[in-house]
Amino acid sequence: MDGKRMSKNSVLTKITLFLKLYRGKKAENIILLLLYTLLSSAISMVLLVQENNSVLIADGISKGGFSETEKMSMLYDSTENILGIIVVITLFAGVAGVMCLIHFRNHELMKSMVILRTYGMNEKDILYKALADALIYGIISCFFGYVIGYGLFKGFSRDILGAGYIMGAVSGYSVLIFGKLLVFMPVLIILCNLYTDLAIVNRPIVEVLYERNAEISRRRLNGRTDDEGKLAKYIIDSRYAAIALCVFIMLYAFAAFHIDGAAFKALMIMAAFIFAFSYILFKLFFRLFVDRVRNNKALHTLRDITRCFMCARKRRDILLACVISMGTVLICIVSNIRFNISGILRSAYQDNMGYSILVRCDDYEDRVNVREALKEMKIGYTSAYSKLMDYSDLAGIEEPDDGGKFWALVIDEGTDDNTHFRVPEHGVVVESYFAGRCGLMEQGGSYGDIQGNQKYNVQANNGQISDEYFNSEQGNNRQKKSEQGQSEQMNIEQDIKLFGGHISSWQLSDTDQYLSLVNYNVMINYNDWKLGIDEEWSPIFLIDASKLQEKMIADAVSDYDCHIESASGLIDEISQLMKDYMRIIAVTAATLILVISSVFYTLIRKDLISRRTELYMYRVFGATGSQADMVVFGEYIIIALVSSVVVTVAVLIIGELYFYYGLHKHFPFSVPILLITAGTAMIFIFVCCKAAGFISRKGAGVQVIRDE
Amino acid sequence: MSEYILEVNNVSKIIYTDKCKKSKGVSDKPQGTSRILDNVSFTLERGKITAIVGKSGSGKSTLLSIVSGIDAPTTGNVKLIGENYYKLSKRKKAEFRNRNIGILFQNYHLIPELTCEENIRMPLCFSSDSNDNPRIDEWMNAVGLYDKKKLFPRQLSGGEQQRTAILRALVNKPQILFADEPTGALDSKTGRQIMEFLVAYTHRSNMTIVLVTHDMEIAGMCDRQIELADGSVVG
Ligand SMILES: Nc1ncnc2c1ncn2[C@@H]1O[C@H](COP(=O)(O)OP(=O)(O)O)[C@@H](O)[C@H]1O
Ligand SMILES: [Mg+2]
Repeated sequence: MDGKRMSKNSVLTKITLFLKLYRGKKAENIILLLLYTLLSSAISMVLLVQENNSVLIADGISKGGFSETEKMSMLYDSTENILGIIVVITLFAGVAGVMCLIHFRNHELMKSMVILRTYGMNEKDILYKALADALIYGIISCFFGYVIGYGLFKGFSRDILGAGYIMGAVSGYSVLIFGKLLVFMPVLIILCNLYTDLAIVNRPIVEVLYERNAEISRRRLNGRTDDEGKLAKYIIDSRYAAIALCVFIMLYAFAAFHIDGAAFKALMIMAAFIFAFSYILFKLFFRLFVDRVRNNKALHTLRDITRCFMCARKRRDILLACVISMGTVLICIVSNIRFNISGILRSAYQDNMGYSILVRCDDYEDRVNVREALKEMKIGYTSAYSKLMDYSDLAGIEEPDDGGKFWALVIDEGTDDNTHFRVPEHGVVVESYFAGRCGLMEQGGSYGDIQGNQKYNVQANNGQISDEYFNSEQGNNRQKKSEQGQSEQMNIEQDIKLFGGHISSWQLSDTDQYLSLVNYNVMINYNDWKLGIDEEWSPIFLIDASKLQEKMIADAVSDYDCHIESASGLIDEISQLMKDYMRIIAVTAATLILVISSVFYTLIRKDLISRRTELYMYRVFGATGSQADMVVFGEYIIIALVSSVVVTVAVLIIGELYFYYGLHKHFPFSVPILLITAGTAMIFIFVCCKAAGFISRKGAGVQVIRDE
Repeated sequence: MSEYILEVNNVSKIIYTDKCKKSKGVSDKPQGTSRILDNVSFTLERGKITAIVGKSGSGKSTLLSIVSGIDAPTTGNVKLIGENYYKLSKRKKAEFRNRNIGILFQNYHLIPELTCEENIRMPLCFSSDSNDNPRIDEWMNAVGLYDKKKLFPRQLSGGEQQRTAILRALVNKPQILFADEPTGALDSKTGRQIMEFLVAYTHRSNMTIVLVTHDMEIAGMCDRQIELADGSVVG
């Protein structure tokens, strides 16, 4: 009993001792607290927005208005997915940044920790240190972060959705989110602390105190069996702390955010690829330029000294360069989405729909003129006829009891390479409602059950399937049809007459047409059926055109009795929604930038401080203060230069590859944005250097005198 | 319990000087390695002050760090107070160091974030049984640190810093104190004062001291001298 009280007491004295060690690290701890707060506010804000949206949608569905809700949820889902992924990236980057800062802070305490060890501190005490850190900083930041996050959420929701769309202030989910945060932050802080401190504690004491390497003894000590058991050894190793951290964040990300697994996976693969790619590239760069030049050149200028340092810290510099390039790539993607969203959406629309403009002739005779005008401008098109028909017009189909009408689309000729409106010979493409009404399915089964349980998302484009951008996010696991599946399907014999013709093979389309300018219930080929097209049909032209061409076409056809519908309006609507969401993302991006800049600032400042004597020496031997600083900065500036060049190339190639193969679509990056981002990355690091130099020189005046 | 407080048996220390060690493995490759300590053996009795002397680079610091338990020998073993130190577990080692060993360094190695008094009290935080030493104030008064107890190491002079380090080493009443050139960075007068304090304390409390020095005057104040040359004991 007495012993227990004693040990409790000693834990407290230990914790006080550890907190006293932070006395000299006020600035670092304030920056850390700020970052923790920002991180937790970004997390809580996004979680609140996502939770609120899902409540809203559930609310909308229960109130009826299914199709409207479906459309809304589709838009929300896709924007949320992007939001979720960006926040998960921020989470990873933010945690990495926090980890770096904690690492720097703890590393500066290394000597002190080692002295504590010579006087009997052991590994378990490290846990107390981490706990103290987590309890104090974690909980404070959790609380403030949540308050800020809640405020931001309220503000954004009011702007985007109007005041009525915010769910109750202290509803169940907001408490739950606070709870999630309350678990996340302390665990994060504990794991980050363990990562560095365990590494420090496992370092041989002489190595630090005498600054000699003690590799042999470490190897020998590892060879000995520690009677504390294997488990302790596993927990102790700092690498396990790092792995535990990764697993923890991953689990948290999946548990807390609504993210699309496939997109996330693609993102991870991309990140790994960029990392590997830049690692190899930088390794090559260092081998070719730094090493060779060093071996062949004597020391002449201060710049040569920089190069020597780059050789000495090659691994660190390569890693740093990789991190910078990955960060720049990320920012590049985000800024592309931010500033070029309508461009991206537009080309996504064009890729998936096959057109962006629809010219509808109100006068049947004008179709010839429009055709001529388009041919003159050398603009490719797909021409078709559209008509709202009665079910009674269908020969051979039993007329439904309630009569009704449907949209028919007859494809005439295609002068562009648009495959989206190609109907296979003697085939039809029908939408599911139509198929259902006309009995174009096997009796008993639902529409999708024609072959086993496969549900086909068919668009007849030569076996190549492109799933629609907005639909793909919807999460219904619609299976893509393989080419083999298609040929099997062709063999189905159906004794059905449509429009008076006999169908020997047919295809069904499940395509949702929310975003399409032209709707159809059935789509057929003009040549197959030779329907009597007359004036009751309205001729339409589907054109894949850029925004510039849009105006030209409008001018050209303005003389005729026809009107133009374009996707621009629709895209504007969506991109406005995205832009509203982007404001939320901007907050997380700001967190990210703050994290990165404080990491850089701390890194450079740490370098300046640890090399203070060296810099002092340069000055003693005749360099000016800024010249001496340039020895340190040069390293960072070279790294920044190399990585932003690499980044520009890498993003151009990988970005295209990712969107093309990963998402089956073409998302073009805007080159100016790319260049600006790469340039900004460089300037950013330069500014970090200058700031660190300025501040450390201001502080140096006092310290240099009273230094050992 | 053994009659000797410290037994050093055939201690050798080999380090790798070549970079090639990584690719070639740990095979016997005489060119890449250098032997800093070569089969050093000696024993020390309780309550005595022993000086390890020798030229610079003869391996004094290496030997001291091995016998004081902060660096492992390549071969051989070290028995401290009857315990085979390097066979202990990490936890036991830490506890053993805290309870039985005091260490002094040439450049003091005070913790810059802690004040003078906090530095002195630091080892108490890690001891499991007693959490206080009631005589700290008295001691600080005796060495003239009482007025400076709220100051940080960088605000203290070299002598004051070393006195702080000494009190820190003695606060847990260790049985054996190791000191690597404890007076090396001080002027001879301050150095002598420190040595006199240590000698007096040893005689009072039956503590054992092992110190490294190249100062013959200080070595003369000790009960016994062990001379090292090129990693071997010569006298
Ligand atoms: N980790 C190490 N790496 C390389 N050389 C070492 C290392 N440790 C000690 N030495 C070498 O061993 C010799 C003895 O060092 P040391 O014990 O510090 O001598 P002393 O304290 O007597 O001056 C020196 O020549 C030193 O260079
Ligand atoms: Mg020495």
